[in-house]
Amino acid sequence: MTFTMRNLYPAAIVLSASLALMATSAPAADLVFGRSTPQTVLDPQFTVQPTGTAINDMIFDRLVNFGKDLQPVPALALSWKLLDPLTWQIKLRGGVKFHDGSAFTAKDVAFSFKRSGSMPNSPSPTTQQVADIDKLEIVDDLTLNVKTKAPTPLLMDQIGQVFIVPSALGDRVTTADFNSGKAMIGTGPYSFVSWVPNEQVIAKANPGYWGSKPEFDNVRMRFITEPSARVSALLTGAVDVIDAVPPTDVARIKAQPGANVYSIPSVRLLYLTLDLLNDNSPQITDTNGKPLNKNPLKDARVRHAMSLMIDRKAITDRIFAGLAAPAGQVAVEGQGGYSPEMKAAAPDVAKAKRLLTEAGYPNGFGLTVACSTDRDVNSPEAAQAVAQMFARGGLKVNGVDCQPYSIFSNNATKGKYSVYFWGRSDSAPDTSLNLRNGYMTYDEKASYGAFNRGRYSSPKFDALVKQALQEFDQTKRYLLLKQATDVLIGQDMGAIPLYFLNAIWAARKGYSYEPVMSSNTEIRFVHAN
Amino acid sequence: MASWLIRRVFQALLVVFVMTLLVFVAVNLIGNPVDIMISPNATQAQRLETIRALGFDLPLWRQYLAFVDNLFHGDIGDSFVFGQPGLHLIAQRLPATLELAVSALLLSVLIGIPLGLLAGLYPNRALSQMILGGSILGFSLPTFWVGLMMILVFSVELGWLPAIGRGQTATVLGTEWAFLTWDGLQHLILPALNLALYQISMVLRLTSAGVRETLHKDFIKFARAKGLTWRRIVWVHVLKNILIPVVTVIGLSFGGTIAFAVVTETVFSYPGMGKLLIDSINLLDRPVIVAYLMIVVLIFVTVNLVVDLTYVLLDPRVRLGDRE
Repeated sequence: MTFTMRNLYPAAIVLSASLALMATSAPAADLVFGRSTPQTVLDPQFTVQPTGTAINDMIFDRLVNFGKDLQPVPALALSWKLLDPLTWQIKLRGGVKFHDGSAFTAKDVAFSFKRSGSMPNSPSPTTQQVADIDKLEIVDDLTLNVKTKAPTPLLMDQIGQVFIVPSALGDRVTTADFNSGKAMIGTGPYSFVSWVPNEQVIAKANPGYWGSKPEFDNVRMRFITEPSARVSALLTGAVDVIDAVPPTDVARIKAQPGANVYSIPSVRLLYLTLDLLNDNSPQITDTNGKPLNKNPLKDARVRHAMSLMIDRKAITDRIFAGLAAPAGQVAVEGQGGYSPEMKAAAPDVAKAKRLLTEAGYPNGFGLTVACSTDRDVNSPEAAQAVAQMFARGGLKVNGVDCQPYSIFSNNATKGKYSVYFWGRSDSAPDTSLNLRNGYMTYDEKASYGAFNRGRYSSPKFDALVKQALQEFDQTKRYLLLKQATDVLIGQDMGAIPLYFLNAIWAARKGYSYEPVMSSNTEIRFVHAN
Repeated sequence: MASWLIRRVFQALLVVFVMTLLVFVAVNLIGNPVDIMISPNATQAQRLETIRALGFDLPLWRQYLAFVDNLFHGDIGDSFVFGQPGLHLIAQRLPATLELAVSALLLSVLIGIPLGLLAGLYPNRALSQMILGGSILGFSLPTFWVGLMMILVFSVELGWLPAIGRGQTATVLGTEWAFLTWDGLQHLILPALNLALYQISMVLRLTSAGVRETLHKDFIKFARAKGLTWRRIVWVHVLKNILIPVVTVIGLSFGGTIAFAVVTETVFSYPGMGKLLIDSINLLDRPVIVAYLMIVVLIFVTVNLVVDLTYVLLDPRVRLGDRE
C-alpha cells in the first residue's frame, strides 16, 4: 500500500489517547521540591557556595540554627559561655543519634571542625568558619572548650555554620566517599537515600530525630536551574514547592487556584560601588566626553548628590513590582548594627544639583553605569533606571554597560569600572564581618577590606569596626557598628545602597513555605497544609 | 583504504589539539574563575590559596603544558566546581544527550523523508504546499521559543506530557537509558520534537527538491517504459539517488544537533551534557569545557567517517582514497 497520511491516522489517535491518560502527581505526606541551585558536591564541608549547601540542612545539623531574625538558636549546641577572653565553653545536646545509630558526642564536633579547616582543592572552602580556632579541648562527651587565637565575640556565629559529621568516618574519608553516598551520615531530620548529579536528591524521614518531627515521609529535591522550567514544573504539578521565583511570574502563579506565593525582603543588597582610588577614573569624563584628570567621586558631596538623585521607591515599585525594598544602609532591619534613623531617603533633585554646584560641578560630569546581566534579577533594568535618574539630576550618562557575570566580575576586580552595581548577601546576626570585608581600608596582611573594590577608606570608620570586632558585650558592639554605619553612609556615602531583593517562594495547593530573611531555602520551612 | 583511514585519524588528532589550544586561550580571555567561585567572606589569603590550588598563578603556556602532560597520562582534569574528573561528569550525562540527538535524528528521517517524498511527487496538491510552507516555519522559528510554546500548550494547558526532566530510566550495560521506560519516553517526546524541528524541515525540503529533479531524468522514463511498478521506481530508484545529499546533511547536522541540544536541554531541564556545558561556561569551569569539546570533536569526526563510508554503500561509483 502506498505510504500516505491516511495510514498514519489510526496510529496517531492511539498514541495521543494513551498519552492523555497519564497523570503526574505525588502521593500525600511526600514532598517534591524544585530547587534553583543544584548541589554539585555532597560533601557538607567542601564549600560555602550555595552549590554545596542545597541539601545539607536536611541531612546534617549544625551547632546552631539561624532564626527568623538572623540570631543564633541552639541546635546541636545547647548553650555557650565565655570562660576567659580566649576560651569559649560549649555544652552539647545529649541523646542525639546519627542516622547509623551511633551517639553524637564532642568528638564528632572536633572532627568536623578539623575537617572543615583542611579541605584542599576546594574553590571556595569552609576554612573561614573555623579560622579563628586555635585549639579544641574535649572536656567530656557533651562539653567542648574552644580556644581562639584572638578575642572572638562572634565565634558561635562562625563555627555554628559547620555541618557535623561522625568522627567514625575517620581522617581518610574523601569527598568522593560523600558523593557516593557512603559517608552521608548526619543527625538531620532526613536521611540520605540517593543522588543523581544535577538532577535530584532523594531523602527519607529520620524517625529518631531530636527536634520537631519531620513533616514528610519522603523528600525529593529536583534541581531545576532554568526559571521558566521551574515555574512550569510547579504549574503542572511536577513539583510541590519552588524557590527563586522570578518576579514576572508571580502573577501567573497566583492566578492558579490553590497556589500561593511567599516573599520577604532578603539580605541580598544591591548597591553602587564607586571608584574612590583613582584620580583618573576609567569611566569618568567631562560633559563633552573627554577624560577628566580629577575624580568627582572622591568628593563626599558628589556622592551624596548622586544618592539623592535616585528614586529607590520607583525602582522597587515599577521594576520589581513591589518585590524589592528600598535600601538606606547596608544592614537589614533586625541585624545588629542597623541604624533605625537611616531610612532610604526620598529623592531630592534640587538639593542634589546644589551639592554638585558646591563641589565644583555645576554642569555635572560624564559617567557610565555598569552591571551584570545574569547575577541578579532585573539588574540591567534597574541600571538603566538609575542612569536615567542621574541624567535627570544633571549628570551626563555616557552609557549603561551590562555584561555576563563571568566577564563583569573580572572587569570589576581589574578596576575597569567607575560606577557599578554590586550585590552582597549578608545573613550574619550583625554587620561586623560585612563592614570588615566590604568597606574597611584594604589591607592584605590584616585581611581587611578583601572585597572593598571601590577602595573606600576612612580611619574613623576603620577604628570603629576594629573596636566592634573585639567587643564581647553585644549592646556595646551593636552601638559601635551603628556608629560605623553612620560614618560610612550618613557622612561619607562610601557606597550607595539601592535596594534589597525579595526572596520569593511558591507552593501549590496543600503546601506552604515559611519565608525567612536569610533567604536560605531549607526544608524545615516547608509545611504541609 | 587503510592509508585513507590513517590520514583521517591523524587529521582528527590535529583538530583536537588545535581546539584545546583555542579553548585555553579563550577561557582565559573571558575572566578568572576564582572571582566567581570564591566566597564573599573569604580573606585575601584564601583567595591567593585558591588561585594557587587551581594553578592560575602560573603563566598560561605553563598551564597548557601541564594540561598536555596530564592528557598523556589519561587525565583531562578535575572540574573546579564539582571536584570530580571532567570526563566522568560528561560521561554521566552523555547518554541523555545521545538519546535526544538520536531520537531527533530518527524523527527527522521518519517524518522528513516521507513528507518530502509526498511534496515532491505531487507538488501541485494543497497538502504539499502546506508541508513546504510549514517547513519554512520549521527552520526559522527559534528553538527555545518553540520549546517554551510546546511546554505551555502540551504540559501546562493540556496536561498531556510532562514539562521537564528525564523521567525514569532503565540500566543496560551499566548506563541509564530513558527510552526503555514508558515514563522516560514521555519525557523524551517534547524535547526530541523540539530538537528535530530544524532537521525535519531541512530533510523535507532536500528530499522534495531531489525527487522533483530525479523524476525527469532519463533513466526514470526508461524504467517506466520498461514496465516497472510505480512503487519500485519511487522507493528503489528515486530514493537511492536522492539520498546522498540527504545523508550528508543528516550527518553534518547530527553534530549540530548535539550542539543545539544545549538550548533544548536548558528549556526542558533535560540533564544532558549540553546543559552542563552552558553552566560550566558561565562558571568558567575550564576542565569541563575542554572535556566536552574533546568529546564533541570525537563525535563529529566519527560521524563524518560514517557518512563517507555510507557513500560507498549508496553509490557504487564512489571510491575512497586515491585512484589507481
